[in-house]
Amino acid sequence: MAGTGSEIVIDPIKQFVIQPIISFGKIGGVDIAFTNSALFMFVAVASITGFLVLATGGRTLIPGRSQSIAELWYGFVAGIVRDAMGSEGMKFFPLVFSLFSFVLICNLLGMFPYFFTVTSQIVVTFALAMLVMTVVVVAGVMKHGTHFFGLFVPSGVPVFLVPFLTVIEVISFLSRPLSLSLRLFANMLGGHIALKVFAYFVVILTSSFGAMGFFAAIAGPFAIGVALTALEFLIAFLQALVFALLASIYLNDALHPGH
Amino acid sequence: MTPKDPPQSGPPPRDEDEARLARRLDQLDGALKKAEPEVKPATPVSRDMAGFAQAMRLGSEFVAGVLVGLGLGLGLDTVAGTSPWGLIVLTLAGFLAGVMNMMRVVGALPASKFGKPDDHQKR
Repeated sequence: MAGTGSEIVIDPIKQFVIQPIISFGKIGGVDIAFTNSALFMFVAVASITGFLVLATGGRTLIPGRSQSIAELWYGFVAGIVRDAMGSEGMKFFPLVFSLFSFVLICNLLGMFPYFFTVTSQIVVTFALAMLVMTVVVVAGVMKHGTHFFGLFVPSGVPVFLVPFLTVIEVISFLSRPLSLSLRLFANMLGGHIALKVFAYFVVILTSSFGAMGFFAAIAGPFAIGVALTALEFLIAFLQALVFALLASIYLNDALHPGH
Repeated sequence: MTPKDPPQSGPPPRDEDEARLARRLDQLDGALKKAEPEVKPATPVSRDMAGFAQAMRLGSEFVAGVLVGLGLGLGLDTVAGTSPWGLIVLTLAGFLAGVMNMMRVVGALPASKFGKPDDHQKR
């Protein structure tokens, strides 16, 4: 047993490697392939759509279990949107609902062993954040014209400070998509690495120290791993909530810039 | 005494019936309005979570500010050839923006246009 213990390769990053499943060849020197990441995005979208279609298919007056979940789901996101933007913000509801559902289901799918966590890729989270910011800018300019950019000019400060503060406000605005995507990406990445590391500790302890190591592993890293798993479920939900909440707070700027 | 039973006032005084109906409707409306805040569970839940969400934001808001300042500085230097001044000035500005972001998250900077504090007051 001790022999196998030394052969265990500890590589907590391996779970994030993107592997092509079906390759479509190269276009412009870039591999175009259907990857495991894309597969799990499809799984997430398919399960959201499938569940919601099935759950709301009955449309009974007294909701059954799955319809209750669907209604709670809707009501929860609608509450976030109304809180941040008022009822006129409900035109952004489809966007926020899709973002929330996608992030939530991707996070939760990532909690299955051997599943790929889509949201642990910064490319994905940054693309989602840029989608939000693009909508903010486009909707803001469409609604308010150039007045939207008055967002960057602070009011009620001495004149000589205005150019300086404008630069800072612009940086502050540009930092939003980055912070939005970094938070989600870092939380998912860090959580999954921590889980993997503690799981490896269990394996190493039991395989190299026999029965004593087994009990030590149960008392130490295994218990922590169980607790971390619970924490990760909380974080999976919380990060989806934060993403939706901030998306709607930012979208509020498009509706009322500089109120 | 208690009001007359409706069936016994046989020759139907319609006005009285309608008045009673209206009164009952009013009563029900009032009861409904009283019950309504409890019917909407979504808002309190998300408000409860909003505190959690705020805590989550602090670190990343600051880091993002500095990183964007750094990126803009490096970009400006390569485009305008002002190395190293763009990097120095804009990284510092990014630091300031990060601090401002954080202060806004906790509501210490009330007069903000990117008004997160206002958003919380508006509720």
